Amino acid sequence: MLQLVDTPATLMARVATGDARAFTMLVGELYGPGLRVATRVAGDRGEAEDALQTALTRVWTEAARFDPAKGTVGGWFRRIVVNACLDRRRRLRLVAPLEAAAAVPSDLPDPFASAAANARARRVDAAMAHLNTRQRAAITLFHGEGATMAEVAAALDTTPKAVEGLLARARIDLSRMLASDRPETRDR
Amino acid sequence: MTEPFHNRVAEIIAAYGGDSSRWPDAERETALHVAATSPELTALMAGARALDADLAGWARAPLATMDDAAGRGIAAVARIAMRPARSVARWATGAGLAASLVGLVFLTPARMPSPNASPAPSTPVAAEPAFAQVFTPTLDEEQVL
Repeated sequence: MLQLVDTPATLMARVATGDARAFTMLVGELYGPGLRVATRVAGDRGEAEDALQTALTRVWTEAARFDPAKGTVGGWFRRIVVNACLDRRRRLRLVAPLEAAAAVPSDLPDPFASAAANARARRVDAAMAHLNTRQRAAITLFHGEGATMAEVAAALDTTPKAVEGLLARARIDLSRMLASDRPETRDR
Repeated sequence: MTEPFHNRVAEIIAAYGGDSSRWPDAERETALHVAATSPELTALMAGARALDADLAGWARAPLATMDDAAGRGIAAVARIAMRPARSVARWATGAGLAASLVGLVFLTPARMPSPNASPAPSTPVAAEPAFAQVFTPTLDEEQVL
């Protein structure tokens, strides 16, 4: 029996006609991935939620401007989320000093490896807070979302060459901040 | 291999990391060969892979915020997202009415209304500038959308 499935693209077409039910279903599809990107780019839960809400409002008001020939709904929404975060960059603040992250306890169950990995991820999170917003966006999209260099460039409205520079500077800064507590350097 | 390409491989490692599958297709094969024959680039690769591992762990780590949608409810999030247009429209209508009233107060002494004069258009005309001001996208938004 043929079952009709609402894909993000078909939902988007209905949203463009003002279909509130389709929009709610689309929000269900976009919310999780959008919050993940926004949280990592903004580096702050409150900022991420605000940016995500702004992005969802844009989807509702600008749905008619989505062109499926130019890409997926997810990719289009990711660009809107990143730009909403960049628009708010002047009000962004550091989540926590890098040093403070070491004292944050893991909220995962006890296995040592899992706790260590979680602690390490928090160190990376804290180091990320020291990058500027565009660098964070580039790292989030390239390493967090697996986007290609061209996709990152499109999301940041720049060239792949410029993204290479952004990523290189971000990675150098992250390496420097994280090197101090790598086992092989800490024991020296 | 020429010095410029050696430098280019160093740039690739710095930007893309130590996972060659993510390097530019057109440069990968030659870059891998150059990297394998240069102790300096081999060391750069090792450092890049250490950071790659950190970033991979960071990307896999659960976010504390991911339960937010369940907590607030998708329907509530969607309702809030749909709300501004309606609220702004109401606000614009109210602003238009207020502007019309102010206009009437100032214009009345100068031009006494004749009994046959039709009422001045108020709400829709006055609301348009306010509406446009709220919804005019910035340059950034235009480029994104």
